[in-house]
Amino acid sequence: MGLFTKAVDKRCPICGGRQFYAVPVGRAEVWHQQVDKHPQWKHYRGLPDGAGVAFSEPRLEWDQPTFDRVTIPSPHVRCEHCTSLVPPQFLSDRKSRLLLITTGMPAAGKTTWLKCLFNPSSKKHLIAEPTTQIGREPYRFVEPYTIANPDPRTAVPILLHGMKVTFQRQQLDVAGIDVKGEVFQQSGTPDKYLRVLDILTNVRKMSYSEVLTMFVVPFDTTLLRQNIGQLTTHLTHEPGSRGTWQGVIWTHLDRAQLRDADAMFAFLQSNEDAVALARRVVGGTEEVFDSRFVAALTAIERLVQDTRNWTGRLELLESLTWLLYRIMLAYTVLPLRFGVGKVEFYFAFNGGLGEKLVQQCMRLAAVLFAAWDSAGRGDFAGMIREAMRPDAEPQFPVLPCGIEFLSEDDEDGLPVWGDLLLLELLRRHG
Amino acid sequence: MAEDVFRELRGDYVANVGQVVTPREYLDYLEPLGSALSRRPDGVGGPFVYQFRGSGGRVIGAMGWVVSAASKRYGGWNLWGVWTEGPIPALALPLFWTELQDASQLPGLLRRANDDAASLRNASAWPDLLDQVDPTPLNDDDLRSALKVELSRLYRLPHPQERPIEVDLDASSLELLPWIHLLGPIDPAAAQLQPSRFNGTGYQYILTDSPPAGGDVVTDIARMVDATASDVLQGWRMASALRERRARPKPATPRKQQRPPVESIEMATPSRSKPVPAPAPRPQPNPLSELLPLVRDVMIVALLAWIAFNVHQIRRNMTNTAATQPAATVTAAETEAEPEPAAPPPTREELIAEALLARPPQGIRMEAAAAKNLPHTAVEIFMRRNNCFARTEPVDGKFSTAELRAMRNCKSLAGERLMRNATEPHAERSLAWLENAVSAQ
Repeated sequence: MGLFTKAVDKRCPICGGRQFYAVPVGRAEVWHQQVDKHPQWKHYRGLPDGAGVAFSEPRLEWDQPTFDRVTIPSPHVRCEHCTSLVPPQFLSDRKSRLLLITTGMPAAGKTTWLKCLFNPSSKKHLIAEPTTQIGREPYRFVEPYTIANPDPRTAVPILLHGMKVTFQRQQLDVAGIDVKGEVFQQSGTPDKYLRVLDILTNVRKMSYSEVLTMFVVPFDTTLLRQNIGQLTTHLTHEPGSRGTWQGVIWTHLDRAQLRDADAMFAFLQSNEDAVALARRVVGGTEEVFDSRFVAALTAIERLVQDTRNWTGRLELLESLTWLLYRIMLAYTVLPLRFGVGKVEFYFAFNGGLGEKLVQQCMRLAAVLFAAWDSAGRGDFAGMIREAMRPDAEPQFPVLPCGIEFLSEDDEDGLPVWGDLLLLELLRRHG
Repeated sequence: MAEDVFRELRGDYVANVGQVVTPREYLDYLEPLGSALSRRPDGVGGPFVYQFRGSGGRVIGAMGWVVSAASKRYGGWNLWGVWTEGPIPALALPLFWTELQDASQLPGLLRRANDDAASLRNASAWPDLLDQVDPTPLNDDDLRSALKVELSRLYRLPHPQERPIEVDLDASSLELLPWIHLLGPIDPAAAQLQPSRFNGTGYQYILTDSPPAGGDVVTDIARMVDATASDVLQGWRMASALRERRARPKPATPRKQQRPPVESIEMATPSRSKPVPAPAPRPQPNPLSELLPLVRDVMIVALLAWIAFNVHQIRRNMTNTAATQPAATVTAAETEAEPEPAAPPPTREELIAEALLARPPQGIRMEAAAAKNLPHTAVEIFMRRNNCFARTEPVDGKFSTAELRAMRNCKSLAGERLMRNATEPHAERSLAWLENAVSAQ
C-alpha cells in the first residue's frame, strides 16, 4: 500500500478520477457557455443536463477557470473525467492535507461561516483577527463561484473549497467540501442525494492528516427546524478510522435574549461564583473576567449538565445562552487590554490564558447546545457526550458564533469563533 | 374532460426548507431564474418566458413573473405563472401581460390561456389574438419613444448565437418588455426572456436603478412602433418583415456596396389581408436585375484602377521634381510657411487613462469617471486584483466606505505601499503601478 499510496491518493473528490488537465482563467461568461458542452459537469452534481446554474451577478463579469486546455503550467486543473475544477489543496501532500466537510440545512449560516473562515479580509469578526501571524490564502475559485462572491442560492449541491493556512513554519492545506443541506431533505431530488453519497465515498478513499465534519446548526428557540443530525451515519468515516473529528458550528447565537434575569440568578444561586459572574454580565458595568471566572463557568456547566427536562425551561436555557454570548463578546477585548495580539493571548500570554478562558467557554457552549438538542430532536446528543469525555480531543465539539454582522458602515462585526478551529489544528500539527 | 394545456406554476422561498417550486421536479430548471434579483429589494422582479428540456427530452415552456424575496433570505425569490408542454406560444406574453403581473390574477389567466390554447398554437388564428392585445400603453409618448430607441438598438446589434441580448432597464420600464418580445429582432416563438443569464436565444433584461439610456432611432423602427400603437397586427407584420429581412443571408457581393445604411432600411408594409407569420413569396429572379450588379461592379473596379494609376503618376512626378531641385533653393518664405504647431503630446496621465479605458483589466468593470482620478483608480484595481475587494464592484475613481474598510485589511496593499495614509493613495507609486499594470496587458 505504501508504494502506491501517493499515486492513488490524488483523486477528484467528485468522481474519483485520477487524471487532470490544466485550464486557463477566462471570463465567467465563457464558462457559462462552455458548461453546457460538458454535460458530465452537471451529471456528477446530480443536475439535469438542461438545468442552468444560478448566478446573482447578471452579467457574469468576473474570471473563472474555463474548460479549455492549456499546455503551459497553470495552477488550475480540471478532472479529465467529470471536468470539475479541483482546488489544489485536494491534490497536495497528504501529510499536510486536511479535509473539512461542512453541511447544514438552508439558512443555517453555512456559507457565511465558510466565507468568514476562508476569506476574512473584508470584515473583522474572528477571535484571532486581525493578526498577521496566521496567514490564510484561500483558493479563489469555488466553482462555479468565487470565494469573494459565493452565491447563497444555487442548485449545485456540492462546492469545493481550498485554503492554505500558514503559521510560522507550519503549513496546512485545508480541502473543503460544502454540502448543501437541501439535498438530504425529502423534497430534494434523489439524483443529488445519491451523487453526494458517491462523493463522500470518493473522499473516503483519499488520505488526510485530519478529517473534520462540521454540522452547521442555527440557534433556534422554536426547536422546529430540521437540522442535519441524521447525516452523521453518512458523513463519518469507518469505525476506528484515524483523525476524524465531528463537531457542530452553532450559529446565530446573537439572537439569544435574556428572558428573565431573576430566574437565571435563581438557577445559579447554588454557586456564588456563578451567580456573581451572571450578575456582572447582566449589570454590564463591571469586568466580566476575574480570578474566579473559570470556577464560575465550571459551576454553570455542571448545573446545566445536572438539570433534566429542559423542554419545560427553554426561557432559562435561552438566558444562559445569552450569558455565554455576552462572555464571548467580552473576551474579544481582553487581548487589547493586555496589549498583546489575539493569537499570542490565546497561545502564550500568561501560560495560555486565552486558551483556558476559551476552553471553558467552549465546554459551556457544548453543554448548552446539548441541552437544546435534548429538548428538541436529540440528533447530536451521542456525539457531544463522546466528545466531552475527559480524554477526548479536541474538547470543544461545539463552535459557537454569532452570524449577524453589524451594519455595513460599522467597523467591527460580531465574533465568529471559527478561527479557533484553525488555531487548534495548527497546534495539533505543530 | 381534457387535460389543461397550461398549468399553474408557483415558487416560493420557505424558511428552513429552502426554495420550493410546484411542480417539484422543475426546481433545478427554475432555480436560476430569480438569482439575478438577489440584490434587488423584496417584490422587485419581472417577467420570464423560459423553455427547457425536461426528463425524457420533453420541451417544457414556462411563462410567469419572478420577484426577489430578499426579506426571507438573500437570494430567495417567488414566482408565479404557467407551464406547458412545448414552447410558450409567441403571443402569450403580450396577450396576458396585464394579468401576469399580479399573482392573484393567475387563476383567471390560466382559464383564459386554456380557453385560447388552440388559437395560441395555431398561427392562422393569430390575427384575431393580436387584435386582443391592448396597445393603450403605447399611447404614452415616453414609453413609445423609449421603445423606439431600444428596438433600434436591438436591431442594430449582430445576431448572437445561442446567447441572449442584454436589455438594461429600471423597474418602471418593464412595460417595454412585452413589446420588445413581440416586435424585437428575435422571433418571439423562440425568444426567451429572463432576468438571469441563459444559453439560448432571446433577451436578458438587467434591472438597474436608472431608466434606459437614449439613442438614435431608426426610421423604420419608429414607423413600426407608431403602427403598433394604433394597430398591433399591423406592427406585428412589419416586425415579421423586418426580422425576415434581417435573417436573410447577406449576398456574396462586397458588403460595402450592398448593405444600405440603417436609417434607410426599406421595409414592406404588408396589408392586413396577408397571412401573418408566413413569409411573403420571394420574387422570381430577373436576368436583367442579376446583370446590373455585375456591370456596376466591373465599372467600380475599373474606376478604382484608374484612380490608382493617376495617384501613382502624381507621386512619381512629385518625386522627380524634388530630386531635381537643389537644397539651396528653399526660400525663407517657404521656411516660414511651416505647418501649424501640432497639439501638445499627451501627458502620462492621459496616456494611462486612455489605455485603461481602451483595455480595462480583465474581469474588472471600469466606469468613465475612473479616468479622472488615476491614483484612486489604481488602488481600486489593485484591491480587486488581489482579492481584497469584489471584482464585481465597478471601479469609479472614488473610495466607497466598503473599499476603505477593505483597504485596512488588505495586506497586499500595505506591502505594495500604494497608500500615503489610511484614505489617500500615494500618487506617484500608484500611478507607476497602474502604468505597469496597463502596459503589461
